[in-house]
Amino acid sequence: MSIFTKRGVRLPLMKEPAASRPVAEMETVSRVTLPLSVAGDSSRSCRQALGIYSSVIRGQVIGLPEDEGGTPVLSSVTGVLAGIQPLTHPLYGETTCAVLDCMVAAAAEPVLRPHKGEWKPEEILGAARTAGIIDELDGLPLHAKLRAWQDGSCNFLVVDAAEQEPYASSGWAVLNESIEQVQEGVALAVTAAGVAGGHIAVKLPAARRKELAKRLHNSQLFQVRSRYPARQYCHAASDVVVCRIGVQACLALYRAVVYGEPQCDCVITVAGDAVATPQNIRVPFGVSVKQVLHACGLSSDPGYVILGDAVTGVAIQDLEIPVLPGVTCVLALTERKVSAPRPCIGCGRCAQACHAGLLPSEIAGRLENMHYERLSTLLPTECDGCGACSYVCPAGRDVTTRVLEAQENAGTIFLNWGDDDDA
Amino acid sequence: MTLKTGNAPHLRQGERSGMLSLDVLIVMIPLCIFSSFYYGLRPVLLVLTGIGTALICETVCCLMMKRRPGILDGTAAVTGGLVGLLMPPAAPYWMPVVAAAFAILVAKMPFGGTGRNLFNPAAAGIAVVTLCFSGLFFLYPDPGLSAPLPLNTAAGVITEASPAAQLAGGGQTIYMWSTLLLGDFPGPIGATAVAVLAACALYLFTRRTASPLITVSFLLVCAASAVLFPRVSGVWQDSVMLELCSGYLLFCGVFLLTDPVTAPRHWLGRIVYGALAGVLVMALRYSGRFEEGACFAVLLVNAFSPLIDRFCWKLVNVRRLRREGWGQ
Repeated sequence: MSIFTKRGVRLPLMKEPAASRPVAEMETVSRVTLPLSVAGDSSRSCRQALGIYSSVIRGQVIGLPEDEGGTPVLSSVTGVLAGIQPLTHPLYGETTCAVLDCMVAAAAEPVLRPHKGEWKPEEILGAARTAGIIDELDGLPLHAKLRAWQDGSCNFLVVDAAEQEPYASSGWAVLNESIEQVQEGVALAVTAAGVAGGHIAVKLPAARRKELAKRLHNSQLFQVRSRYPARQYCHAASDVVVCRIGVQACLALYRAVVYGEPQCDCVITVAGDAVATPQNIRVPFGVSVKQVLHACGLSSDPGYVILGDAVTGVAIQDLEIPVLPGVTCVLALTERKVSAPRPCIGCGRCAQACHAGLLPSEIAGRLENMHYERLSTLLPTECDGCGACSYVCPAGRDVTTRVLEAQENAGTIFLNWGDDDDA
Repeated sequence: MTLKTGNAPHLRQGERSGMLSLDVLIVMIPLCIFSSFYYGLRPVLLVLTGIGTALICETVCCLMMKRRPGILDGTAAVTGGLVGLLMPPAAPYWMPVVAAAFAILVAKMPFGGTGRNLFNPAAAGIAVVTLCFSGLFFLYPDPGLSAPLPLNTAAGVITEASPAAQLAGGGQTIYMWSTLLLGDFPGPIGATAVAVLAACALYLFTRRTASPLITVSFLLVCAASAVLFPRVSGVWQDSVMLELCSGYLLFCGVFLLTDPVTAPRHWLGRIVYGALAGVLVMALRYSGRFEEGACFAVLLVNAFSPLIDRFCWKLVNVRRLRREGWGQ
């Protein structure tokens, strides 16, 4: 059975040379732009906590959520609040942003918080909220995710550092730097979510994995073996329901709980053939793509700058767009290897690649033939936009884009036009 | 610095749809060589005639439809080649011309060209010559006696009843296993080389150009019906071997049914599609007018392909559909 339903695609890794270089620090940051909106729901805005031209220090609250449980927006640098301006961000949509002129970007030396005994779940969640931790996997606040799992809907926590996408290696870099702290973070997250256990999921060459495993006191590394997108994050067992958090969020959780440190920066991979020094670099949130690319140097004029990884990222035209939580990769490519789309020949490779078991070509066909009323019976809503179907399409068609368009149309006004006659 | 825009993913596997056609064209070469070993150069010329006609027709149609001629994607060449390979080695040269022209002009381009045809063009072309020139179409020269065939006219070659004709006639067949495997029996140009066809199939499967699910389910159903309803006396293995190797059943399973445009996309759909084709092919053999009616079976099952695809997908996803409220 499994040979018929072997899904996903094999992606090239292309992690080197960024993966083997140490994490670089950003030396000069001139200005950062931070959206004043509720994490995970950019349509709801936060209340501005400071007046214009007031000075802020790193980790200070600059945006307060309307409701009690919301995550505050923290300043990622020390400097001056220079103004408020609207911004259209490809991931956050239309938002109002605080612009901060930076004086000092570096963090102060962390101080251990005195604490006796075990950490209680509420303490951990409170620390995660105060530290403004946003999970880089989906851009949702970490404390809300962990709280949602307390009801017993999941029983195993996976810290996802698999990064199957080409170029992306920030998770590797974070593990390489501080796997011991990530391991402590796993224990804290497991306690907070009230699940049975947890481990770190990686996809690493054997030698690297052994090296990392030596630094752990128990075998908490799980090698993801499936194709892209990964479906199996732990050893198969029927009763295991997995919940996932990002490796950087896990590390931030540890720092927040133990040192009371706010999450102000993230490690992102800067790579692509137009980048002079492909590397992983620690950047404060809100720094513009232009400053990031400048820090790594450009070897040639890029034709495409991609916010996000090579499979699901968004090509941006404006380099002033800030790097925000949820972004772990910035690519600058001189050229894309994408050819002009040709007619679909129905080879069915998209259906084989789809990990959700959909028929992407059929959905795209119905959308193009304007059979909107019959779209939703093909369940385009189950698509998570992983891009595997477009990747394999030998006709070079944008199948993923079509399916995502269908997702928007399904269930809205289009549904009421036809008389749902699908047989 | 101007930045370009483009949809994700920004990286593609890089395989082009032309490669799929090229794979099929590549595997046609050993079939032609094999045939020319028995019959001389005439089969090769017939195949080339088919390919040439298909390319010309495609170009003319594209020009008429004010499109850029799309012959580089190779689908027209594949159609022409398949038509040529199904001709009898002693066929007159106009026969592949008629079949290939019908395939492109009637079965493919009016539906919208590459990727939009409902019926397999090659099967449609063969169906037309089967119906119109059945006398000539089933006239196969004896591979043992007549090599090589004259290039200009094939009149007067010694012909022999093919295994399919002998099965249809109800007479005893004289073919041994080894003869069948070596392809030393009368039949269409590309369909007698059983061992070569198997190798071609393996190549196409490993290149993922053809789906093994279709071929395997098709052959299994054909073999099962050969066991259950044998047309020759003797052990069941003889019946299976004869049914599978005679006519162009194997060729049909490897090339005609696996055509991606007309086959289902879903794995279960492919299995059902192959099995249904098997049933139809065998039914046409038992009760049809012709010794081999696989092309009609292919056309019939093509018509059901979209339905099979949707039905099977729904069958597999019935739980999810119920959950979403579409199960009623």
